[in-house]
Amino acid sequence: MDFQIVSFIASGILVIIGLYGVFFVDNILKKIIALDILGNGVNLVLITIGYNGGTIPIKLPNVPVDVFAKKSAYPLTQALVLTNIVIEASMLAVMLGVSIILYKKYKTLKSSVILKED
Amino acid sequence: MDYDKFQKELNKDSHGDGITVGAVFAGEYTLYLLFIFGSIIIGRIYGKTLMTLFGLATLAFSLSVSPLIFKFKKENSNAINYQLFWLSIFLGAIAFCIYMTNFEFM
Amino acid sequence: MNYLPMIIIFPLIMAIIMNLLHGKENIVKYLTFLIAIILIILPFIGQYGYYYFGGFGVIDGWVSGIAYYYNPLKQVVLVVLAIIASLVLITGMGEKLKNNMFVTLSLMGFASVAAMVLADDLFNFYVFFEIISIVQVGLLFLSGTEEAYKSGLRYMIMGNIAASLMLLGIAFLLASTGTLNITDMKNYILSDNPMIFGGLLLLVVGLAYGSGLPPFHNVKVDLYARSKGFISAILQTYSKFILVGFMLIILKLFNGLSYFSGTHAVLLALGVLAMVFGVVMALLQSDYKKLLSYHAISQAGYVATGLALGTPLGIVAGIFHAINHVIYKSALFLGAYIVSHKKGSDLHKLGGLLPIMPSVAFMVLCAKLAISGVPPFNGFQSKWMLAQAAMQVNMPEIAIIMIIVSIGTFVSMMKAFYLIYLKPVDEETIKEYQSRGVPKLAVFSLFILTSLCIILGIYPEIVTKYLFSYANELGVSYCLK
Repeated sequence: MDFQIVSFIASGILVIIGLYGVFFVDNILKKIIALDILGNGVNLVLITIGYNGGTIPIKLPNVPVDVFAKKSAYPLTQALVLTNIVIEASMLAVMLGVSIILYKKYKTLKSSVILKED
Repeated sequence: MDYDKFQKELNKDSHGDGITVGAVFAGEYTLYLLFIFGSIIIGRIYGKTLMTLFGLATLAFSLSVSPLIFKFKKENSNAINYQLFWLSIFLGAIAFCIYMTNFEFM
Repeated sequence: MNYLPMIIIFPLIMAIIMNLLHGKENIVKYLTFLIAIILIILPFIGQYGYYYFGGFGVIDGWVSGIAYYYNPLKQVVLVVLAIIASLVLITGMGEKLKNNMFVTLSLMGFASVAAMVLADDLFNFYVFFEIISIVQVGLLFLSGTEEAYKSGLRYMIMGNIAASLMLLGIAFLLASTGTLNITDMKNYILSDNPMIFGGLLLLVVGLAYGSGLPPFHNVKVDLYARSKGFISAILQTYSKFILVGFMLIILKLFNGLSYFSGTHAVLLALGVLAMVFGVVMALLQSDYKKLLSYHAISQAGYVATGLALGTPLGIVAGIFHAINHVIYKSALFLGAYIVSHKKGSDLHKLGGLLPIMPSVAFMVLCAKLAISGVPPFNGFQSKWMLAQAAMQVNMPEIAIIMIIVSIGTFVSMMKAFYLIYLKPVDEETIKEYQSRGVPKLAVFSLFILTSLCIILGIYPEIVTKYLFSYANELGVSYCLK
């Protein structure tokens, strides 16, 4: 089977697992893990869009732009994914930190208890 | 929809003074007016009688369960489960919108 | 040489420097005053037109790199943002503890919002969209209460879902056009493609999250209501200008295309629902900060409706209302901050503050009349323009809903004014009031914002004349039958 199609199917499964986990799992750590999976699914979509079976996208000075654009993979998506990974890591770190603080107070990880109406 | 009912409900949080009850009444009527004008504009733009009837049915239903405002307040709570429920409804509405739009080549 | 990127680089560098100055209160104070003055100068040193960061840009017909687009409309928005940010920074220095983290995060937020308004490529836009959500949560955590942590966690869970879906939408747009530069993308987007439509609708999820339209209004309200008063002023300013920047991008890409009409209806519905939900929830509140926060959502609905109409007048009215709204809502939040110095923010425990601080009460009353749309103030001008724009496209129902929401705003604002300033109280409470001071710098900021309200109310042309040229470029005139 085509590599790109398999990759798209895998990313779709990851996105759906992530959304399911965020919406239906009560444990707050599992919610955060599900958010990570959702983000990774989106990253995989981006990487797959940029992949066309080409070479590593490094433009050497003696290569003309149009030859480079034909032969290499699309570098923009890779840059976007790299940035997104960094941002998401910092978001998840803050969320995990806050959940530790709240766990110390409530002694439970159920989001229906910690994050109930107040 | 009488004054005493509102005051009894608001007195639970000891906020039953006249100005608060008046404000809550204003909120209740604002919601009804949203339903009325919303169903008018939807019926006028899309030209479908069924949609207008559906809007009017919503209005009739909301009148039958009055006072609506306390139920509205409960749905707007900040508990995470309510939030995620309405977010999933929103995503469903967006997906429905993608499905309903008729593209020329489809 | 074009100094346009300084508006993003300067606050980021100062944020890094401020981060290192923990505990050195005097340096923090004077450096913050200096930054507050420089921020106002920054929007004036750039040149209009496209700017490609680092000299990259168009190489052999291929657009690459970070691109900004600057014009008079964006300049007006950035000037207002800079004024509010510097006033809030000055107010923050009146606190007992001169907190360097507050300055750091506010400057990062300023840089992010400026970049989002200026951005001409979706990559840059998305990066700063994520930075601003972390910054907002960080500013919320500065208040240090348990409620703040809880609502911050809620905001981040909802925000992570929305931001991931928005990135998926950007991925769809990238897949079907092959570029992220907005001016370039516009050329490829004309063909009907269900993927582009899906990407557009997923962008709307990000829009609703960034600006607090339903279904994200409750988490956003918690964010405003649980931070300190002057921090809520800057937070709601960020949200409004994120809304403006985002809508400018969506309109620039899609306005006038045949498949935009479905999204058009979605955006209008989101705006109208935000207006009504915000004001109805505000009428129910008994906490002053929460009441003001729900009004911020309601007014964001006005801005979104005006921009979503998509006509030149609608765009001008929406942006003018965003500018007016950040001015008077910041004044109201600063008023709430001054009141909370006296005694909390629970409406049913306050009262009788009019003889204690008559000048503050007068300025807050001006801001309250401005938010309700009473003539000599600026809220009237932009609400009038919004109603005119709605009538122009033959949607009188939306104009009627706007007026109804205005009435609700007036009712709840007058309720809050009565309960805080006019309601009679006993002797002990008055003695308690007199024993506590008023933050002088907050009163100074409040005075400047109130005078801006009156000036813009009498001479709206000083803002609107800059808005029309770009709005004519973006807008499409149409009329419903």
